[in-house]
Amino acid sequence: MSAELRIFQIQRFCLQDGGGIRTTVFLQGCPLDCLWCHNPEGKSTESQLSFQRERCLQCLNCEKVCAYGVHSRQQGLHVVDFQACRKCGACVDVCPVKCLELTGERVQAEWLTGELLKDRVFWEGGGGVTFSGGEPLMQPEGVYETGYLLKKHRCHIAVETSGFASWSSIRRVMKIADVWLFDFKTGPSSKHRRLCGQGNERILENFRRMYEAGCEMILRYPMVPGINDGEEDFDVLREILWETSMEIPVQVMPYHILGKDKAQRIGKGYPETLPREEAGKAYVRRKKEELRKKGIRFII
Amino acid sequence: MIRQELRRTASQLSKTHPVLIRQEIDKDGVWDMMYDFFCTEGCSSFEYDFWMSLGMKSVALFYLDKNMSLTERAGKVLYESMKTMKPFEVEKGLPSRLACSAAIAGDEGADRGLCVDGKGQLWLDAEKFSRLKETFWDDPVKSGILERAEQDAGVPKELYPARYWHCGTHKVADIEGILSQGYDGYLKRIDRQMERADAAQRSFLRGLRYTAVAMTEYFERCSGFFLEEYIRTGEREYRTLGEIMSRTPKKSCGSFREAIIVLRLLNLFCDSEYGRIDQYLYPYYVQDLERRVLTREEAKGLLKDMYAFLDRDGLIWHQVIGGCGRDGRASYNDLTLLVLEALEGCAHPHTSLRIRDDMPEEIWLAAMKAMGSGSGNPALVQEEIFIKDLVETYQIPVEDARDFAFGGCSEILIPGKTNVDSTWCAYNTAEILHETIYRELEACESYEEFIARFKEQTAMTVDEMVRHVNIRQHLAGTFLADPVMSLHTVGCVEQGKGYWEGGALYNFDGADIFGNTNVINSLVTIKALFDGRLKVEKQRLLKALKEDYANDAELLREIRKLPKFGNGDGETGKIAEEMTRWLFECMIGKRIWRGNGYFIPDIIQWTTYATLGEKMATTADGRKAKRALADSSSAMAGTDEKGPTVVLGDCALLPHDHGAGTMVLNLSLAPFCFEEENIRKMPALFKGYFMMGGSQVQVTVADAKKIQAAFDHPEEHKDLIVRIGGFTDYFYKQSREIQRVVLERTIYGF
Repeated sequence: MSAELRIFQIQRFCLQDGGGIRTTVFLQGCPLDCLWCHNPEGKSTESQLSFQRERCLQCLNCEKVCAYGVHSRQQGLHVVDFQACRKCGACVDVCPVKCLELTGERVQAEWLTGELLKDRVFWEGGGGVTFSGGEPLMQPEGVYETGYLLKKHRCHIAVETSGFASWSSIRRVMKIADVWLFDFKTGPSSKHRRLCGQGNERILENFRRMYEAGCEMILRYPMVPGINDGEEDFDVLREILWETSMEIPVQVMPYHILGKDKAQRIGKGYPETLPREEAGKAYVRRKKEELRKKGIRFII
Repeated sequence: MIRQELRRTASQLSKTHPVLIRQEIDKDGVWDMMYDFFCTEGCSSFEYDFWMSLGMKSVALFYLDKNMSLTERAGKVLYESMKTMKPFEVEKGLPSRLACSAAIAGDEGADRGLCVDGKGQLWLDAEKFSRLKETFWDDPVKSGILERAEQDAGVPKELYPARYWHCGTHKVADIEGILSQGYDGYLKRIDRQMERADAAQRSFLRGLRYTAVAMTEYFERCSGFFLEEYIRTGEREYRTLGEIMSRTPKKSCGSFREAIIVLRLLNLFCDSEYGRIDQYLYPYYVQDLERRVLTREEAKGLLKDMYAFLDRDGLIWHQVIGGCGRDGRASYNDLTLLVLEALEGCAHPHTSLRIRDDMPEEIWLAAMKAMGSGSGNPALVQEEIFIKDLVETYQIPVEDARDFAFGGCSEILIPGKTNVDSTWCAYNTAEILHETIYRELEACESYEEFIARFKEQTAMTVDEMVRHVNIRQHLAGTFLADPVMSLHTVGCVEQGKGYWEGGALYNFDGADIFGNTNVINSLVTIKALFDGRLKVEKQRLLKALKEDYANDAELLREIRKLPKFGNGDGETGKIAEEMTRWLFECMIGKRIWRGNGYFIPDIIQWTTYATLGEKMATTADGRKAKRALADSSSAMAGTDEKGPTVVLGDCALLPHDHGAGTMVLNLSLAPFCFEEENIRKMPALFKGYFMMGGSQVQVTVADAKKIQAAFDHPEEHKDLIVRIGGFTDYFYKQSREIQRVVLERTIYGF
């Protein structure tokens, strides 16, 4: 029987999730809780109710069908009590403008493979599939089986990971991954725990072991101004590269605010400590220069 | 033998009417002639004398030899008119504008109320002419002459029945012929043909002869004028131009600069577009580089200067680069690259790059850079599809098929050999569908029954369109002479027939289909009605259509939620495939009057999708009245939600094997896609589409903020170039409706 996966999106025509044009599948569930997460709907292993306030017609059809008191009118406007939601989906069916949605679905690996392969013709020149999320390594069997089926069609596979996973999960997925997009969030472990919910010892250890096992890696650094772009962070980065290889490319991912909207849609707050503006080109140039001064040369 | 024939003709003519006033043979063995068609007393006709007594010279000349062909009679008027034509204006050493339209010196026709132009068209001022008629009321013979001319002037050259019509045509003259042979070569060809022509054909050929001589005399006069201007002003560009004009285009071209000048003259005289510019200019380019009389930068500068005229004049003209040669082998060259560089940031000319599997990576990258500069150029076409369709469906010989190019908004043609007459017919399939909906929906018991009726009515209306358009062609062919285009189109000399009569080697009529995507989406609604997904009665839908959904917002919402073309829905895709193919197959094989050529279905749109939509009522796809129809063969603006790969997947389902007419696909991509870290990834998107069988794609590059800002304040964003229904133009110049469509188009790449 085909393995099951929990996914919340398939995004086609991605230019920034590995080489070439890629089709990225986002898996639901993540062991971390990063402050700046731009896919907050992927953190939980469960589906989330999503509500796009600006499209709502205020018809409250949803209130009529909800058995749990999630939807109500307060001061003339539709209000959602996300905590009360049991994810039954009744409100989604009756919304006339599709502003209510349940994120995430359970799919079979075979079905997922078929969906991904629809984009096969666009993968020439280094393109392929990227597993992202959430954390793909939380569903190693599903990722492995899908990857295995994709490999029959010579598909190039990238896996984006936080690195916070068991070695057995990593080993399983290593069998089908061509390249790893390995996140670097912040340097000191205590800061990592504060900003992301867990320390980074295991992450750095996995990184070393994967390097030794011959995995092709790219370090992805989501850089948030004033939060994780300091001297202490760059020092740890340099150290881990020094221990493995200075040839491992470092991809700087400038901070953006798309996550804010998505967080609001699922009833989550967006931390006030995060910058209001996106990181501009000048900032990125400056930071790349600082990294170079630290001896980190292979920056993409 | 040629000389004997001409001498005989000349001497015969000189006995009856001394038209020939100079006759020399030059060193190439070509007769050099100058004519005077205004006869002396005693050799003309009664009617001619009458018109001349009124000072109506063009009319007199036109009615002098009424037994002769229209082209010959028009050719004489053209010849005499061009004698007085002033030299063209010059800008940056290139022909810029024709100074004024030609008219016969001393012609009083305009004052009298009737004159004739170089196409044999009569221009009547009814009020003035009626005063003239009053003068001769008591002379039945002279009154008869005036009445017959008035009647001739009233013969329609065009008919405008409202359905199936819009307007315009696009042409590419025989550029290669003029460059390689000059008008002397044309004259030799005409003279050779005279030997085996019958009387009617000889008359036609004489008209072309007069036209060719008129043009070479004009260019000779221009040469003299420019050399005098050089003496007067000391400006070198006049000297260069004067020297060049003394040789070409009478004789064959000798350099890249000469070729550009000749091309520009053909732009002015024939409204000729550029055709395969990197192919025919290449030998001159290479030769001049080797001789060190031209640098790459100078060549680029000449191209850019020539292109600048299009921007100035607002012309929607086309050029094609790349692809294979007549031998089928890849023919990309340095000029292909040069044109792409020259195009960066330029909306005009509209450029198509012919793609092949073996197109060099260097050309791909240059194309992506040009695209990313925001100009909307180049469009990409998969040439194999066009060549195969031209050969198999339209019986074009393969070497000529390999030479295909486009005019205007991507109308197919074989350069120098075609009358594509591209935009005579507009087939609004959405309008046809809604007639069927209103009149048949209630009686139908199933979706299949409804589709059968719609298919029937499609077939009937296509037949009607064919009849309408052919009548129009027959009219034009009979009453419109066009000696200039006939001279410059291969086939006319050989067949002894004019450009509008079917003389061109290849004759098409591009049947432009509008509203195809609206039909697909509307049929999704109809299907949902029958299978219960749309839980409404037929009467409710019909009422909502008539009321523009004004009283049924709920139904409108439900319709808008149904799957739309461009989103990868299987059932919608099947409808798109079946119905578009049916429509194309109704049109394929239908013959046109002109040259027994073919109708060729296409989805090109230009701006007509907006003007048609603005005057059209509500449609069942959720489109409200007065809104533009779909702007290309792709998704209706703003309804595609799954990204470009899915849109392309749906568009690949359309009948591209019959896509030679061009099925334009508009795609909007963010500038982000063309930044340095991403630009090399982009060819895979287009290659993927072509691998799926797609034929054409053209890209607008602009981000959502910029388009919104341009929509709010168009005059402040004059640099925004977008692709609109088949061509590239400036956003600020478009109507509000088109600006709104562009705004609503989904932008991919974030």
